[in-house]
Amino acid sequence: MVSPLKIESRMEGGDIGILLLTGEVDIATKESLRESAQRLLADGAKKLLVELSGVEYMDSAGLGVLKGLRSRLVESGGMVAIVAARPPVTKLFAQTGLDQVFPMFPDLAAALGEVGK
Amino acid sequence: MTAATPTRMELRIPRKPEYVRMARRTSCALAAQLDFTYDTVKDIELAVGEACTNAVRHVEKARSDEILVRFTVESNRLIIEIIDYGQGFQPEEEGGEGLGLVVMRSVMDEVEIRCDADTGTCVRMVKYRDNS
Repeated sequence: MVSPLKIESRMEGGDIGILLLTGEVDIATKESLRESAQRLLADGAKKLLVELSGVEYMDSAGLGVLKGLRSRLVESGGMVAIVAARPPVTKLFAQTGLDQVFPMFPDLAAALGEVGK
Repeated sequence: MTAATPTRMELRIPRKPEYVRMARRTSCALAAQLDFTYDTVKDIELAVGEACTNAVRHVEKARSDEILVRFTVESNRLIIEIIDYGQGFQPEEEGGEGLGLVVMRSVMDEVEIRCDADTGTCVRMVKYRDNS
């Protein structure tokens, strides 16, 4: 079965990991997200930018992974930020109160400008 | 589609994560056919995804390898029931994973969870067409 989630990842500025997601983040794909993020953490990422402009669907399974990553990174002084989420995904964060937990940026340039300081 | 008498449709999916998507997409197709707005169609998809995810996640001693998704179309509302044939779970057992229930309750007009010895947990969700 073809995965409905594609993930590109890269490091920027030494300690910023960027994940670019395209497709759907649900119970079937959440492990791919977790594994990709963990590889960036292993490469030295302390700050994680999750770019969601290509994500058509996300549910609490995806939120759970992001919450777990955030807990791990915040403990060591890092963070997870959400970038360019589409309206349905932005709504999901608001419905669950997580829009108050995760910094949210309109695009990668804005996120890198703030997080890279 | 008019529904003077309720119209019922049932979908059985394997209790596997990769099949939750099938239930979501079926709910999208049906909700769109019922002329719900795009935003409401996406809300219904999300609620079905959350309920099916719970059914996959919470049932370790299930009596069936399938999950039943039942859609009932009435004149003014769409009723969706997700039946897991498990031992049932109570919402408070969800713990850290309780976001799914929060989401379901925020996007549907009614959400009710029933536990039954024969069918396990049934999540019954209602969306009224007038509210779309």
